[in-house]
Amino acid sequence: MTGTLLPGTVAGDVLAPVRDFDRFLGDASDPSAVISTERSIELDERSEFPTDTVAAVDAWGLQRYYVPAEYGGLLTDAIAPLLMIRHLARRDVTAAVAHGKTFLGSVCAWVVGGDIAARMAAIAVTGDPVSWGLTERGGGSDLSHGTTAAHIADRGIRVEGTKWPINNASRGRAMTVLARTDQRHGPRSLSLVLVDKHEIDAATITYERKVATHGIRGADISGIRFRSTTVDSANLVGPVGHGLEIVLKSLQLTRPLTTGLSLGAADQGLAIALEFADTRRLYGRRLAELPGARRVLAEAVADTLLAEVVMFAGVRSAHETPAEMSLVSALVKFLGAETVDLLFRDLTHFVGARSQLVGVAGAGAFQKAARDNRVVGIFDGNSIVNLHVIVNEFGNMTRDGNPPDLDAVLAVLRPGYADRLPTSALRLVSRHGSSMLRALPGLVDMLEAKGASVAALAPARRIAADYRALLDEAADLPRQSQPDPLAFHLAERFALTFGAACAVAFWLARRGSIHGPLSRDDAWLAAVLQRLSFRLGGDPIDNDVAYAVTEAALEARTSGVVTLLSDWLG
Amino acid sequence: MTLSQTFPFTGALNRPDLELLFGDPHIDGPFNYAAIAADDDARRMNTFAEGVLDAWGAAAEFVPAALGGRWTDTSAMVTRLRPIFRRDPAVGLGYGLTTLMAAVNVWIGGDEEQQADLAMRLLRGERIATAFHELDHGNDLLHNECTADFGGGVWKVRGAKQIINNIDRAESVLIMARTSEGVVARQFSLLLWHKAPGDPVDTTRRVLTAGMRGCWIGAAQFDGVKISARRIIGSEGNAVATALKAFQITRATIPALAVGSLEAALHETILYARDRQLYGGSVLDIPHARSLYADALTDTLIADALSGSVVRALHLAPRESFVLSAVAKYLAPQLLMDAIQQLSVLAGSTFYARTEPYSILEKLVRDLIVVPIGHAGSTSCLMTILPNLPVWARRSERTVEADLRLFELNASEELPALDFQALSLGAGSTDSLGAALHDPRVRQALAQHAPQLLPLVYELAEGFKRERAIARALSPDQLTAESAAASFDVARRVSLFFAAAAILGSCAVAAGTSDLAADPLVVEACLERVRGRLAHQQRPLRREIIDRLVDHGEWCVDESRSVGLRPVTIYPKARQRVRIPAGNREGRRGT
Repeated sequence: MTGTLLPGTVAGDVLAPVRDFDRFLGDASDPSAVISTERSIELDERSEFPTDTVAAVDAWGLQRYYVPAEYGGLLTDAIAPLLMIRHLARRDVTAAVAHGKTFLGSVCAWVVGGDIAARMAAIAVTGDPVSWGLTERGGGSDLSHGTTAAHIADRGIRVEGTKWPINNASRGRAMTVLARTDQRHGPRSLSLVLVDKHEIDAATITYERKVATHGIRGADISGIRFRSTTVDSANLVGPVGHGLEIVLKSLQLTRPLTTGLSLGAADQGLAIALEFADTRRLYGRRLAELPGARRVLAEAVADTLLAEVVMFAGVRSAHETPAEMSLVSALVKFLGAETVDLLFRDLTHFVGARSQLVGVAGAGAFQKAARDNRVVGIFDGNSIVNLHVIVNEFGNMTRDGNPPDLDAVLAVLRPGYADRLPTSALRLVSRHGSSMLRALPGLVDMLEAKGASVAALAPARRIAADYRALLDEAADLPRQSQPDPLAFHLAERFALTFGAACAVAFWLARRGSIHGPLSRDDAWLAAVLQRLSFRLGGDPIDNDVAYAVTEAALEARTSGVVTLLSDWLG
Repeated sequence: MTLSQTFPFTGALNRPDLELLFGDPHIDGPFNYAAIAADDDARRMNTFAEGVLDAWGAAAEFVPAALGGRWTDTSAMVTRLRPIFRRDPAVGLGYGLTTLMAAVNVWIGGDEEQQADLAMRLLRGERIATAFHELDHGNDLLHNECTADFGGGVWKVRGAKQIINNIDRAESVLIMARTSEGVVARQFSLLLWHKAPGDPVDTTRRVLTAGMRGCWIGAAQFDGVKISARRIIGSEGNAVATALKAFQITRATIPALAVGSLEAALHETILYARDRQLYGGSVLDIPHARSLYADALTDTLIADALSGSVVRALHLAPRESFVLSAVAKYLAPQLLMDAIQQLSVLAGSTFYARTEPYSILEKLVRDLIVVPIGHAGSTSCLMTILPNLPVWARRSERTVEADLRLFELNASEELPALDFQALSLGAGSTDSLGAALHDPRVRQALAQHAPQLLPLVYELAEGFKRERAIARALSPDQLTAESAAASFDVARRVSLFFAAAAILGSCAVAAGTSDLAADPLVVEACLERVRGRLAHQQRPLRREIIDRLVDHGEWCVDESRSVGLRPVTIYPKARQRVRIPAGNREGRRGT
């Protein structure tokens, strides 16, 4: 394993630039900040690209954190770019999607390594956007049926076809294009080609116009047409025929990263709801004092913190258990996006009319974040695709084996940073599923031994029992090429139990490093577990826990963000 | 030619179906989905649709027949207006519903002269806006601040109202204003303001919204607008009582109309899922996609059964409508929201990156988000239900038989006109709807036509009994806004049992016919989804049920039928031309 758990392996504080970036972006309520909420809403209303913001972020150099240090960038532990993306997204998801796309567009090169990675690095570090040409019109997530072709000859690679809809297709300088190199359908019929617009005959490409989108309205979601676009033979990203495999491995890294977008949106939604509850008077009382409101807020806090621990477990796993990422990345992406979708649906009712207004009484940010957020669950591996991945791993997840070493599982989350992403250790399928998930029963026992409250323990035990029942039910399912709805249902429940494992492990491994009001007791853990238990069919969050966790969140909101992670806020 | 000459005002029977006047929204036309999406982008109302509705005399739908309009059976009104909601909910809301919201207050609280005057205004095509809402107080109307002072024979209105649909383009505005400082519930009065040039008011500020973008929603700043004493609707201090009665009608009607929007979304989803090829087949071949569709259709049918029965209850059980309309407005929009959420997941990137010809799905998602929020939010509805629960529970326990007429969604006979004065502010003396869960006649119909469902019915009926016992035992301090969240859960669960009752009742009256509500698989789907909501855990429906529901969806698309419990012909290829009088829109703001 190339990653390491030992703190101090990476020289300096990995999160220092994250804090710098936060300070650089400034206070979004200040119209003169790099990103102001008011301006973001205006641009969104006009479907305009956030040009100034992205230019400023380029100038600051966020893109350097997308490029591994070994190729001249500043990426060591992936938590840094992830939290930077979250900083962007908690101000404006559109800007985060627009800028962060370069990480997605270039990641195949990091998975492949070697010369092509060095070339990709040279493009990406400049801030020139790199996009990812995977999907085609009418094809959606079914990448294997793509028709864009790459003809490989001695003199170069000729690309023919159309990629659509692609984030940054028009404004991007380069694109990693998935193209057919074998007309037969099979796992080895696609290859990846780097198309750098600086190196090609510009007359060979044309664009499909920007697509109107539900959210991220300003983003450049468009298409590109290649007509005998020829690039150098050296522009192959990985061996011929390995395109699909490289993409599938790359998605294992990008899925956890996209939860940073979800979390940034959740940060916005939660902050608006907390402010509303704190300042709104209803029926003669402060809204936050009404028990019904408390519960809704507690659920939103729990959803946010769940998304955060799952995101964190995802990125730590990418470093420490890369061979499990095929499954873990799908669990993380599905659960993170689904949880934040749920948060917005619930908070929309709570915030009421204000949730729908644009540019009145400080409103507008909520409806934008709600629409923006849904992009995460739909693009770059949608919920159905992620659930399908989980279903395909049922055999590995239910295979008998020794329970994982709890200490090793907790070590994944313990404080400390890695020096690089072990991309060569990624696998297309896991051997035994997720050790984090397998550890759930043991982690729950440990929770009791470490003195967690009954409010946390009771739902934890219930979820662990659900997990055991799920294993039995999944083991009995026949294997199907088109899984039936029950399989998807079980996959959803596995994801929820995975979330519980992440939360319990986080508390066990890191409770000493939580700062602020949430560190006072384990109310946050109880809230997250009770909420998960509710989503699995148990009782809702109880009054005492709801009270405690919203008190902590209302207090935390004054310092900015409700978070269990420390040292990332500038 | 005037509007009334285009079609006579009265007599719904010979009036052409709006489906015919609007035509198929998938083919070229001024009110097709492409035009609707373009209007939505531009934040404007579809002027053709508004012209058709004017020519059709749509405002007469909101005027009781006794006052010269067409409104007798509210259920039939819903059926007649759903074609608007199958195309553009923003036109539905912006053209008519806000006028209905205001008008019902006058039908309930106004005197004869006021009613006749308003009827005349509506019948000549005018609008009224409903200026109740103040952003700082939301559903908490009793803390509203806009005031009216009396002096010299007139009321002078001062203050602000926000998020008011049509405030700038309506000819009249019904204002809820604080008129005294006495007992809280008696501090407010309703004042009907007919706009006149030079009135000291600013209504020009538009408020933009994420959904229903075409609606002209705005704010009003009143700086001493004078309203004659004759224009007070009902007695002074009576605004809250009047509004609480009046809104029973609109709270029941709005979700029933919104079912039409889901019918449209379900239709588009079938078209998309058949068309889109993935993994060597169509999306409609993918089991998980079929399951999502079946869930969405089922939730829509539950909303249809519940809201349909509650609309009929306005006529048949008006004294129970206070609770029932709150139940419908709480639960049905949530069901519809969840349904369209499922469809948006199914359509995925085609929904998010608006892809022709399915881009209407994206708009419907945004528009429907507004439905649970506008005109009494979910929590506000629960708070209407909550204080009535103990009394309701006692009366429900004494009720043996349901009023099966509530469930005759496809009745050929029109219901008698609504008795506005019969609407009350209590729990009623019986439980005409909920009783369907244990009504022996319902049981008998099921035993005969769908005996396999009886165990599920018994289970739900037992749950209903338990819930009533809990509701009956709630103490006064558990019935307020400040009560624990668990009290609200009782109201939520009771709402779900009402939904189950509506499904069973609909099944019983349809038993033996070819109606969708009589199909045991469909009924099972609905009851299972209600049970899943009660347990907040949904397992997928059985394969056989999913296939039945998807088949029904496909059949409806092929036959141009609406997919809900009240099947009608939709989307006719040939549009019936209607003459829209020139100058019809004169003096109105169409943007």
